[in-house]
Amino acid sequence: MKMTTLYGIFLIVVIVVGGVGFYAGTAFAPEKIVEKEVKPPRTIKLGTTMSVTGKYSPSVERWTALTKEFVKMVNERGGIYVAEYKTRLPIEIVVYDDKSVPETSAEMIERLITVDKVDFLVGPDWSPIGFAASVPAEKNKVPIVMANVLSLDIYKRGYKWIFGTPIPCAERWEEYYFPMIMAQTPKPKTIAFMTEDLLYCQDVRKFSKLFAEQYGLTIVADEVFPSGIKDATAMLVKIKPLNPDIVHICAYEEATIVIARQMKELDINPKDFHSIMGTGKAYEGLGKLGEYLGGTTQWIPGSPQLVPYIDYAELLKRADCDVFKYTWTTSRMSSYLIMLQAIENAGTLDRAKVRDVLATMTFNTPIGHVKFKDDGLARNPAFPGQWIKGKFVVVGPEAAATGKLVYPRPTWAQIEKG
Amino acid sequence: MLPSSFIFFQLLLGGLLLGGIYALVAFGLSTIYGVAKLFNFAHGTFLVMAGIIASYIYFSFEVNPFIIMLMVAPLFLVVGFIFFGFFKPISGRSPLEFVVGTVLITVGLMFVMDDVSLMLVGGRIWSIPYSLPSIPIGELMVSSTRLWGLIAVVVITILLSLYIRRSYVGKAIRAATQDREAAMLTGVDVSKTTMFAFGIAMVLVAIGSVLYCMVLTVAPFGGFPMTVKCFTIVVLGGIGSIIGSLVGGIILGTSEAFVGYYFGLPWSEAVSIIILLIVLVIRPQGLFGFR
Repeated sequence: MKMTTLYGIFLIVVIVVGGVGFYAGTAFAPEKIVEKEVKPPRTIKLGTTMSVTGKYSPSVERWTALTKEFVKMVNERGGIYVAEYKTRLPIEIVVYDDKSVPETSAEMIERLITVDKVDFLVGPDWSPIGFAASVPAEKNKVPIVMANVLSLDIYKRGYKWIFGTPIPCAERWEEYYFPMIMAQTPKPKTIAFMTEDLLYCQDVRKFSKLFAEQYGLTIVADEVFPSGIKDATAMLVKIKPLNPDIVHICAYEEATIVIARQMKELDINPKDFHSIMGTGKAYEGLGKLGEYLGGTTQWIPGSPQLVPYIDYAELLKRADCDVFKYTWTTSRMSSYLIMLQAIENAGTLDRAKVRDVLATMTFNTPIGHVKFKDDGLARNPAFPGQWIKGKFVVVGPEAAATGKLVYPRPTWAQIEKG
Repeated sequence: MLPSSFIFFQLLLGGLLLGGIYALVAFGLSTIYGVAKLFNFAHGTFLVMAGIIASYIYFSFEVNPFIIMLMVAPLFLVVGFIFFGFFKPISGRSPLEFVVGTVLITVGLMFVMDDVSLMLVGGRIWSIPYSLPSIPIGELMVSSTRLWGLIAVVVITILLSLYIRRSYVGKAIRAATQDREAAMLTGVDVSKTTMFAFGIAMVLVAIGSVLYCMVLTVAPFGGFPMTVKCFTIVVLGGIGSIIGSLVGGIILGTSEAFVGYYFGLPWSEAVSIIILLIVLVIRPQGLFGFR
């Protein structure tokens, strides 16, 4: 076979592989993952899509179990009181796999509205998916509380029926990090940003840079790299001679691991190494080198429980879900909790009335009070932390801290020696 | 500021070491295509699977990665033989049916292996965080881990080259790569030879995966981009050429590093496609391939 023919076949397969993902939702009947038996007088039917398969699936592994347990816990206490029916109604959540494909998610949302006749929508996660999934919700005027949909552009379209609980939001992701790091001695003076070219990472970078400038840090490098980076040498050889006090990564765990390991190889030793996704997965992937990696968390285990309907810590335990590994969990669960509170407060399943409550009320979630701004986006901060001896220690703000930041962090060689 | 010679050598070193690993994995793809005339779209996914197994062994038993290589290589030799078995039923079909069949089998396997690995080991990011201290040479930092990786690649390439040139199986593989029918006429058991080629390819994937995980990471669903990279190297180096794969891998690795530095990292991703197109136009058989 000639090389040109082979190349032709190769191109066709590349297109087919992409196409399979794109059309997966249209070609096959989707599978219902969670469904509860309808009980009289009626149930409150929520619908959602979840990336059970496909590229985002590693982040949501425990969520099918979590959603089942959530429904079980809410119904165990009798469900949600709806004044219109003068009784508590049980809930059910219909979940479809969006296969990590935005178009599939949009199609499943349409199906949830028109075929499954859900009352309200919760969930979908990830900005590309939220972008697509919010369109049918808005078109059909069904209130939707999306979870980890962070990109600000999604909320700039003037939509009235969409809300989002990305906790933290881009504007406030590092709100507690910068005052905390600037209070250290010796005071950091320079910072280098490295950002994965993704919607939400770019948003976080934008606001983190503003914080850095506001606190008087000099930005010595601001590198953007493509998603799925394998070799960061080209970027790191630029940063090494600048010797920044802080290396700040706006990227997923995989890129964080690659950069950390190559920083070690090139002996780049900042005083603080912080990644917005310095999660349990990054720590695990780095092995020993994960010690003193900085990150953020949405929820601090042991913090006062404000959550209605469920015991959040118990829910996580029942579903065997570690929030430091599955870092987006709290936003997802908050989207469920907020929708239920909105229904209870509206006292009806009327979509317009529930939408109005969503737009005006302050809700209780595991991370505290949440209120949506006019564009539909909630704006809550995260808590900075650091991995110390295998545990994620919250290091700021002072009132929430569970430990002190190790600063300056030891060099890679010292970390490796333990 | 550091001198530009530092940057040049640091980039060159990084590119060389990464390119060497790419080359090793790509040679497996090249061998299978050369002998069986099928393109393995699941090649990168096999790398991910092997990487996950190797990392799992490392985390569970803290074994030296070079010993892990010796453990996963025989395992993947067997995997190669089993993989070959998938194509047996379609081997006698018409060329078109065979091509369509192989595409369906390898693409299907890719999807299945992705989901199975996710189901078995979860979405964890796997790697072998085994690192040796870097060696400072002036301002230059030479990563010992990558250096040992490169030495391993060179040694394996030499051994493999000797095996392919001197052993009966190696000669049979070369014969089948050059002309399948002629090889059959001279008494070569092409079926067995193909099975061995699959086995060798998978051994190379297994060894490459250990080296890969010592420097980079693997996770379910991450195999296909690696297949694309290997494909570029195969086209660049020429089908069935060990040296071609090595040179192709190094050209790709260093090009990515330099383009990333001078034009920005987003452009480094485009390098492989640009190289692919140039080679296809100027020398479709690759640098070391034959028509």
